Amino acid sequence: MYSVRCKYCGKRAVVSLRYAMLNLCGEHYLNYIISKVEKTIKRYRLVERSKRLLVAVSGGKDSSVLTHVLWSLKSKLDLEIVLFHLHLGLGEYSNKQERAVRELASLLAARPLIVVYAREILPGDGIPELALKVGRSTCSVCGAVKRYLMNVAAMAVRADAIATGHNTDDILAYFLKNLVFGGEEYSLKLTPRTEGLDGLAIARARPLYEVYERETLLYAILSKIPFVHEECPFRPERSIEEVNKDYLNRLEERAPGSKLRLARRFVSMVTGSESTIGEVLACRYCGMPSRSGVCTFCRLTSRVYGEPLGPKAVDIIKAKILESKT
Amino acid sequence: MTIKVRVTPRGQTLTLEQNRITVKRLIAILGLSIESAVVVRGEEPLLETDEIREGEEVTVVLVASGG
Repeated sequence: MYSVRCKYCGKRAVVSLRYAMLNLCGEHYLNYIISKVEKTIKRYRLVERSKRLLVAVSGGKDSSVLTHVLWSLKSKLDLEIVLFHLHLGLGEYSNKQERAVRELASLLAARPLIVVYAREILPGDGIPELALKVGRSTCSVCGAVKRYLMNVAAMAVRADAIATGHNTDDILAYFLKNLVFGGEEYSLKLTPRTEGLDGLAIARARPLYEVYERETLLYAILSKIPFVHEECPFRPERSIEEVNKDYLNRLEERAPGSKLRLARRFVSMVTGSESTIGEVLACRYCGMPSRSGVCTFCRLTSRVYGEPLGPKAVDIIKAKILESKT
Repeated sequence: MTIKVRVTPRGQTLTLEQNRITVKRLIAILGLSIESAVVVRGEEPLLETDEIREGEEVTVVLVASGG
């Protein structure tokens, strides 16, 4: 005999949200998250102007849930959604991610879906090979390449914003890392919406800002969407972000609602703060943002391949966009 | 009788010599926080107060996949 029932329909509850003192069945839980994301979009004005969003979908739970939720809100919020997936060249792991993204797009009948392969742009290399050749960690090169290519795609489709699947736990884990190890100026980029730079960079929107990581996993399981829930073969043994997430989860268990309060406190702390990152210039090769006149992507690829590959990336992505429309 | 537990994405499996155990207790045995995992029986997530009984199999899905 089950004693815990859904607050709204009396069916057996499968989720208990302690911070909201709410027990929900699967169906009402999915509705709860969709409504929560809608409130976040409105509260933080995540979507403005054209309402065209480039949704960066990796195939992992967070971005897959983001895609599913935004698709559910598409008509209501008058959103125009372009899905963007980057195949990073991480072997079978990347192949599985690509399959999950294609299945999700097919399930939602979501079009357009732009799929770009790192190996098409970097001559035969995936991210790990590029990282090895430049002598940097795979994670750091992966982040730089992803940010660059997402921005190129978003500029090409004239998106209002790039929507990413960062959840409350991700944001707070990065914030704590910046606080402890320096780099507070980067925390200014961890708000629900980061503005773009005219003609250079597209704004970032984080609609899952107030959704806990456990909540995205529950949503992915209950909605039965395809997603990959595996460790990246290149992840470090135990990252600082992972340690921070453990700490935050212990805090949340002891005092429900702590993560949400901390995320909101963080937003109010940094709102109105000036960025100290300095002047941003257009890369002389590809026109994307840079601090020195040559962007990170063109600098990295020049060192490894003898020529900046930014212009090639821009051409490939533009061709993919055209192809996705046919 | 035993309870079979699979922990994913770690790929770890263990067998508990128990007649019954709550989800909350299972999570504690694994050294996890209730916020860092979802326990699933069949396709259905369980609440921390739910009981797992002998002969049943559950999957503990770690929230942070490390993806």
